[in-house]
Amino acid sequence: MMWQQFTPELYHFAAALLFTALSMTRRVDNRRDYWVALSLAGGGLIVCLAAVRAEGLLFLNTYKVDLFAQLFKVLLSMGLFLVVALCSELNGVARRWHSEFYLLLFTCTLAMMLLVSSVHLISIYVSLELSSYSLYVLVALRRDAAMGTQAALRYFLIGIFSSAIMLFGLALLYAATGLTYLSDLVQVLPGVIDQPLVLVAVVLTLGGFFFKLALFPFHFWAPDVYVGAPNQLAAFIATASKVAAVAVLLRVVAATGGQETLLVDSLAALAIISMTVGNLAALVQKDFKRLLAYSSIAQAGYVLIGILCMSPEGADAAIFYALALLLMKFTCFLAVVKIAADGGNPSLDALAGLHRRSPLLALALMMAVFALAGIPPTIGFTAKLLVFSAAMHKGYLVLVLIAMFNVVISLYYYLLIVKAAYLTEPAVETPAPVLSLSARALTTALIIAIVVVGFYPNPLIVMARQASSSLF
Amino acid sequence: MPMQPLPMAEANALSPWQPGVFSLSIYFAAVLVLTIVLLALATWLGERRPSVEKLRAYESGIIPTGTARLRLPVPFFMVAIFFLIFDVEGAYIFSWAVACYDLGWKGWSQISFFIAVLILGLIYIWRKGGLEWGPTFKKR
Repeated sequence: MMWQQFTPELYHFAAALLFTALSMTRRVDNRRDYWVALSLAGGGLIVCLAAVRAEGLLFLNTYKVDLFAQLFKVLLSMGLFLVVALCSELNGVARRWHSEFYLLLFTCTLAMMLLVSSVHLISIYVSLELSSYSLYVLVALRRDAAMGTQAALRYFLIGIFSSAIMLFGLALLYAATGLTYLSDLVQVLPGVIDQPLVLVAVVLTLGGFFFKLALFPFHFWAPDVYVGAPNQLAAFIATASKVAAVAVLLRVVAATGGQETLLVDSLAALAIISMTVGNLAALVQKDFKRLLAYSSIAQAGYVLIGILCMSPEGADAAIFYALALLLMKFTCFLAVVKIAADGGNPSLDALAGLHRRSPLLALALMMAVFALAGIPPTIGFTAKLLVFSAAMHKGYLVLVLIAMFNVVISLYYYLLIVKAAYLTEPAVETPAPVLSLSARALTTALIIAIVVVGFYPNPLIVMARQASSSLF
Repeated sequence: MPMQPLPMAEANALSPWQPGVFSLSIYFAAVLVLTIVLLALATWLGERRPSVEKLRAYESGIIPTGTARLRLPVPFFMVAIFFLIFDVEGAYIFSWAVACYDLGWKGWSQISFFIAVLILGLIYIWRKGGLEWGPTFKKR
């Protein structure tokens, strides 16, 4: 057994252990946890980058370390680092729970890293549950206990419901094939995917991942959890958690190999319903985080188009889209965190006059929102272009048309955000959000990344192609 | 790894559903109709004469002395939850113990790691005051 292939996971496990110890010591300085977490998360990103070329099979072949998994581990650790960077004023969480907050963030990242590497049904299930449990507790850590507990309970109930459905699917899958390794399933499933038993088994199994991705019909938790969770955690759920869900969906859907089948039709139906429901519900939202939640549901529908293509182009597009989502959603939540300095939930009205209070933040928000809407010189446009052209290659014209129609609907509420930030005058004068030097640097870097990757995505597309080559 | 024929259930491994489903749906409808008819008849024909005695909560003949929604001290709840956690983990340890000799030192080290994590959890609970019985005035 070669331990060095397992370094990123061990590193994050050690970090989680350190925070367990810190949570049991007497508190000396409230800022200590933040600095420890930030340096550990930065170190984690470096460790993941260093291990990106590792390859191998671990733990009785249930755990596959390949470029696909390592690339997603880099994305996950980047998401963790960015979210921890937002936690300098962790006002949404009571002081005494700060160590636990970081402990669970690291545990959740560890679980998602295990998830993207798992190639066995049981190890997929166990790591999925570990990441979910961390998130349930994290949501409940909100300082406003009534709001946090309600959101956590709702998250938990829908979570156990979907994981029960997934377990049933796994049991059916095992009953139909007698196999548990994805590498074995990929040899059997393509021939039998049209049998009702196998199809039902696969769709139910995917339910657990749909819950993570907040895809219809498992999306009901998203608005309440985004609103009830501390703002930084909502950023984590909207970015890292979605990235992990895309990775595991890609792996499992690729293993079914069900091209041109009922499975593709049912996934397409879910994608269409998800984006339509998300976009239509987002139109009427007043709360900024709730709007972002519905936008997440719609974006999950777009990602699923790339996944259901089951072609190398589709997988590249989905990987690229995951990266784009990470950057776009994180930038939006950067604005949320900075605007709501007291840790509350900002409404859309709280954005009024942002361009005068903080031009840099307003610019970042505008770029992120334009990227989410898919307006050209941004990463979001490139991601949508890749997804839609992959679908067109497979001849899914109707699907792409419906998606385009949805993009037009979504323009309305995305432009509402820009209008609130740039055109609306504030009713009462609110203090400008405080941006430290490092926060300014982070914001500028995000703006540059959104634009530059939109213009020049080639290196990333090449990397995504290399990563997805192990899937097909 | 040599390729071996992969197991796969036959398409007709499960019994066919077509002939049975008709009688099942008839039966289902009959149950539904019968239940509705019985309930409707009982409401329509039956008489209602509520009295204090009839409306009282049934406690096997003993007169109830108050609401059942008592506020129990929270340590009961905490101890019950902690017991449940460690009890469930016991199931894993037992299943290891059954195969203890076959699993060898590798299995021993893995279950030791598992137990170490459990002990860490216990220390955490202890330090955070989860095992205190009665009010504590320690300000953390």
